[in-house]
Amino acid sequence: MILEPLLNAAKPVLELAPRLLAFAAVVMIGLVLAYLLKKLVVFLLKISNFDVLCYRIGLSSLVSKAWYDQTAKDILGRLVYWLVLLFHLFLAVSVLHVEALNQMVSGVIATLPQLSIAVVIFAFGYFVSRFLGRAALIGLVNSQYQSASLIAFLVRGIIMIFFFAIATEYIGVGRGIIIATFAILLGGVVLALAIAFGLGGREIAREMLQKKLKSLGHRSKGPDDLYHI
Amino acid sequence: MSRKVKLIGRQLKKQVDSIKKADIIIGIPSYNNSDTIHHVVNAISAGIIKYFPDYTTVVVNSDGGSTDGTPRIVMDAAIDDLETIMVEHPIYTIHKISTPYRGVPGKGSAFRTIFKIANMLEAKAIAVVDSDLRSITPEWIELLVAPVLHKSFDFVAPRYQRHKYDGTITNSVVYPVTNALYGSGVRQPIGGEFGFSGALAAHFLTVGEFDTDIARFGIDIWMTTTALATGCKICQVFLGAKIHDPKDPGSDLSSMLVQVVGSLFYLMEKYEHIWWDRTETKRVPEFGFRFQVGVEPVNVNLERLVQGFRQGVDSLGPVWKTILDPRSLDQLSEMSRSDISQFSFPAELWVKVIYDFALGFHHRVMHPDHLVRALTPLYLGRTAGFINQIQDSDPDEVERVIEELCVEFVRQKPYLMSRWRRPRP
Repeated sequence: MILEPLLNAAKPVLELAPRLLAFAAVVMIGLVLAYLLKKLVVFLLKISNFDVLCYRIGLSSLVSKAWYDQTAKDILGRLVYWLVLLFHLFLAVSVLHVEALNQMVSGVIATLPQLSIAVVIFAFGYFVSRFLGRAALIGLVNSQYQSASLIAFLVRGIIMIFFFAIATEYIGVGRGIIIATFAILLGGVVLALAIAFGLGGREIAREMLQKKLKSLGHRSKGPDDLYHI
Repeated sequence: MSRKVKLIGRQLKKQVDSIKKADIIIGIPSYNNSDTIHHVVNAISAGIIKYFPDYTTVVVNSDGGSTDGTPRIVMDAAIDDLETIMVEHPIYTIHKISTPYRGVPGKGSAFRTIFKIANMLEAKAIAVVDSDLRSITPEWIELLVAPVLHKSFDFVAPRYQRHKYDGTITNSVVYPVTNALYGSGVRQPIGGEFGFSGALAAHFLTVGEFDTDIARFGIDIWMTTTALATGCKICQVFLGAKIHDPKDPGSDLSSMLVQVVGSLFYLMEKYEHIWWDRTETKRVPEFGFRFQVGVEPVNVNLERLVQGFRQGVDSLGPVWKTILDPRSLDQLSEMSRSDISQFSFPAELWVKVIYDFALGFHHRVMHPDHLVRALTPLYLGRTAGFINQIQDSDPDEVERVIEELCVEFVRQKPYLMSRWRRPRP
């Protein structure tokens, strides 16, 4: 009489046991495979001078800002490790045949492609902003604009925000709100500049135009007569 | 290799075919030079009539699409009175061709058309002169062509009497670097006027990369470096003062640096196998009667130069950090705090900066265009320091200062070599 209720209580656990064992086995295999693949990826990247390439395209500076002691190849190795492990975790969960868990995993897997593309869009935006920001900085410094650093910073910031807005729009986070916010902010800045220049800088604008018209047809006098070549 | 561009149209081919063969080609690249080109063509004509009357000569104007009638002025130009320059009528007519060039807009593309025409006419000697010259004389033609025709030189570089403040890119970068790497004493490698043999012109046509900055301001350094690297027989000729038509010489300095210094760095990569083992300097023979000549005064805005340098130090630190080492950055920072009248840019530091930029270019630490443009404030600083150093100096003292800079470039060459083949960490 005592044994039967105990057996009944233990039955679900006993039914689950093989699946738990399978779960553990899949996770163990995943851990080993993830470790081996990580080592292989790091080795391959090392022999192909991947870190040198990353240095040249500016990825190393991004990595060093976020992860002090890591290089790009180490980060990629870790990424491979966690991707492989994650895959095996999902596999292991499916082996348990627990409906609720399966649904949750399916939901996560469904969003992964979009999330990956959003990360790629954001990363692309980072490199574009870095490239154009640096071009703006160097060009403005060479033209001796006093606010060169500020303008270059704004260029980088605007491009980053733009690509952030696209990335979040793509994955459906705050759909429409981010884009609208970006548009409102940018439009506001442009309007403010137009008003400031149009009203506050009216006299200056007129002087500049008059000077420009006068100088048409006249050779503009450079700041010095140096022939550099 | 350049993409295929049809250089010679049907009409031009007809003109060239009608001439069949020529001994001498004088090339003039032009773009809206109606003010000066008449004088240039007449000086060339007088030079040919006076010094090469027995040779068939073609004057080729390679034009970039002038809208001020430059090509028509070239074709109509004629010396009214040959007696004033004490010559007789030439035995052979001087042929003239004026044609628009094809390709990337710039002097290099204009030269490519001249090389092609010279090749088609099997010319023995070619000279090229700028179209905005006011100081060109008939003697320039003799000096540029005679070494090729009569002394079998392959390449003739110019040498001018210039104001001590002029040609700072040449004096600070191009001359010392080419001297250190290629062991040449060519004083003005990017002078603008050159002479060369028909064979060398054919070689230029074959190996030229006319889709790059070589098509623009880079053509001069490219020609000189190619002649040096390929073992050509080179000389230089003294032409006197070089006076251009005044224009905005300081406009877009950074673009000029990109094209000239960028080409210099690119050629360092291309001819690494040549300069790696070259240790000795060969004296380049010089022809032409040396004389002192007054040059036009040059106004300099020292404050603007130093200000440009200071702004670079303030704002381009993060960019320079990937190119220069921390000690150089500290030195530059300290220099930016000095008074304008005391401002100096030590030669040792300048040489290290140039070599570090060359290494940065070679190892592609950033986009090459960004890298060379980032050199602009440092160049302004060096120019300011150089002007402060030589403002009370006579021409001989100035040359001594420049030669000391050359010695420093040679002394630090092992530094360049030790880092050239090793990628940055």
